[in-house]
Amino acid sequence: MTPNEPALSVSGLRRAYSMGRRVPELVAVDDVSFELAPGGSLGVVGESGSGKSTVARMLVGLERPDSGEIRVSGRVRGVRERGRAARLRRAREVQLVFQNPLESLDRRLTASQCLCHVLRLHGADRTEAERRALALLEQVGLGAREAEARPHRLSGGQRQRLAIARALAADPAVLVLDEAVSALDVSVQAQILRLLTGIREESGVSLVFVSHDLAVVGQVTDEVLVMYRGRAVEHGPTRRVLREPEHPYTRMLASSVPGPGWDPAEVVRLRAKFAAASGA
Amino acid sequence: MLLDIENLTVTLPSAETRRPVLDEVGLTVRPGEVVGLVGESGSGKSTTARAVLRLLPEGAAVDGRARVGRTDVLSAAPAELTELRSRRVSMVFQDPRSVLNPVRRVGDFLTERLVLALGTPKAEARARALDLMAEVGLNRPEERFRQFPHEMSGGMLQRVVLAAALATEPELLLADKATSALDATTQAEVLSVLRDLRETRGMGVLFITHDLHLAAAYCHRVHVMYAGRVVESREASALFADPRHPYTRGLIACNPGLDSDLAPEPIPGAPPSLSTAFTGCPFAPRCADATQVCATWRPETFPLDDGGVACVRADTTSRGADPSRTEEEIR
Repeated sequence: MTPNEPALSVSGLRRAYSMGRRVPELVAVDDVSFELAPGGSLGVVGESGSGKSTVARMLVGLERPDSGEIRVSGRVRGVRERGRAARLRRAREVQLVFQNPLESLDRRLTASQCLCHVLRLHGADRTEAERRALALLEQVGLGAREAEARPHRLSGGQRQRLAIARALAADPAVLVLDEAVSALDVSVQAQILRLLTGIREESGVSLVFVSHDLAVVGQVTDEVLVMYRGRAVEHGPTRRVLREPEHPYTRMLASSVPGPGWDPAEVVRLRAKFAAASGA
Repeated sequence: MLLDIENLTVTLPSAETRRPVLDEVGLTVRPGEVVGLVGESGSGKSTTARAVLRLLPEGAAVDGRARVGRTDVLSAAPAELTELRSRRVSMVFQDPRSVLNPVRRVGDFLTERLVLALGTPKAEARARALDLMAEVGLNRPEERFRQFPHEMSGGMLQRVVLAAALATEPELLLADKATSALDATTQAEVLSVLRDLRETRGMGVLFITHDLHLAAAYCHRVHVMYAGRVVESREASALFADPRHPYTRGLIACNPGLDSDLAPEPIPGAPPSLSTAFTGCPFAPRCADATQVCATWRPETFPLDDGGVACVRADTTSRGADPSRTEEEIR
C-alpha cells in the first residue's frame, strides 16, 4: 500500500435481483463508485429500498456484486477466498457492525470470551488474547464487570459497544456500520457516536456509516453519498450536502428531518413532486 | 379537558422495585391538541399511556387520578372500561407487524374491528374500511384490502394500523413511538395524514417519542419525563428556545440537530433502574448543575408561564419564549 492509497475504493458496483421470469429484474445497486481515505468517514444515506444496505453487504462480502470492483488498501477484494490465511486477511480488510447486537452476538459467550475468540482466530496466544480483550473492552468503555457478562445481561448501548469491540478485534482497515445506532436512545446514541469518533482518531480505521438518519450522519462523517433507487444521486462533503443540497432528492430528504419550521405536508409535496419528475 | 392525569403514582409489585414507575405524574390533553411525551427508555412514557387505558401489570399499586372526559379511568366499572378501550381511546404502537395477524388480509383486520367494536353490519363495514384506507393515504384501497401484511411496507402497514385506530372515531389517540421505525420521509407522510385527521375530528393526541426535535416541531405542548416524573412541561416552541431543566438541555445536546455545528454531547451515566431509590432529585447524579441541595431536595414542580419545571435550581422567571413564532409554524 502506498501512502496515498485510499483505504477503500469502489467502482461501478452493481447488484440486481431476478424477480422471476418475464418480470424485469430489480436493480438494487447501480453503478456506485466512491473512495475513502485512510481514517476517513463516509456516510451512505437514503430511504428504505434505496440500496444503501446492499452496498454495505457487498463491502463486507455478504452479497456478491454482479459487476464492479471493491479495493481495500489497493488490493482487489476477491469473492472466493480459499484457505485459512486468505480468509483471515479478508476479515482484516472490512468488519461490519449491525443494527441489532442481540442477533449478531453469540449469547453463550461472555464479552471477554467473545473478543478472545476473534483474537485467537487471528493468531494471538491465550495470554495475549486475554490482555488485548481487556484493552479493547476498555477502549469501548466497558469494565471488568461487563467483561464477564453475557449479551442479555448488558444494556442496549453496552451490547453495541461490545459489537464494535468485536469488529475492532480483527484490526480492520474499514469498519462498516449499518444503522448501528438507530435502535438506541438518544443519549446512548450520542455516547456511541462520540466513541466512534474517538476510535477513528486513535486507530485510523476508516468508517462507512450507513443510516437513514441524516442528523446522525451529519455528526460523524466528513463525506456523504446520497442514494436513490440504487444510484448515487449526490456525493460531497457532508456539511455542504446536508445544508445546501444540490439534488432535489437530497433536498427532499433534508426537509424531512424534524427541526425548526418543519412541515410534514411540505415533505409530502416535495416527495410527490420529485417522484413525478423522476417518472416513478 | 379531554385527558386529565393528576398526581398519578404507580408502583409495580416486585421485590427489586424500590421506587414507583410513575411518580406524581400530571398532564393534560385538550380536544384537538397534540401533547408530546419525551424522555429516555424507562422514563415512564409508555406506562403513562397504558395507565390511561388501565393496562397496568397485575398487582400494581395505583394512586392519583386519570380522567378521560367524564370517565374516571381508575375506578371505572368493567362496561365503562370496555367502552373506553374499544371505542373512545385508541392506541398505536411502534411495530405494526406485532399488531396485525400475518395470516389474515388487512381488509379483514379493519372490518373485524368495525363489526366487533361498533356493530357495523358486514356489508357496510367493507365500504367504511375502504373509506378509512383512503383517508390515511393508502392508494388503490380495493387492491390493498385483499393484501396480507407481508405484501406491504412498514409505512403502509402503519397506515393500516392508524386506519383501524381511527375506525371508532376515538376522542383520544395514544401514539406510542408510532413513527419511530419509519424513514423520515415516510414519518412525515404519516404525521401529515394524522394532523389533517386530528384537525377535522377534533381528536386529542398523546404523542410519545424519543425525538425531541420531532416533539417540538409536531406538538403543541411537550412534557419531558425522567425516572417516572414529569420534569418539564412547556409550550413546544419554548422547548428549544428556552429549556429550563438540565435534563431537557442534556437531551438537546445529545442531538444538536442538522443545522448545528456542535458535536453530540451525551448525558453522563445511565437512567436509573427501578431498583434505585432516591433521597433527592432523581437526576442529580447525572446533572452538571447539581449542588448539595439537590441530594436531599424532594422534587416539586414550580410553575412557569407556559407550564412548569421540577428543578430546585431552575430559573422560573419569565424570560418568555420567542413570541414571533406563529401557531402555523408550531404545527
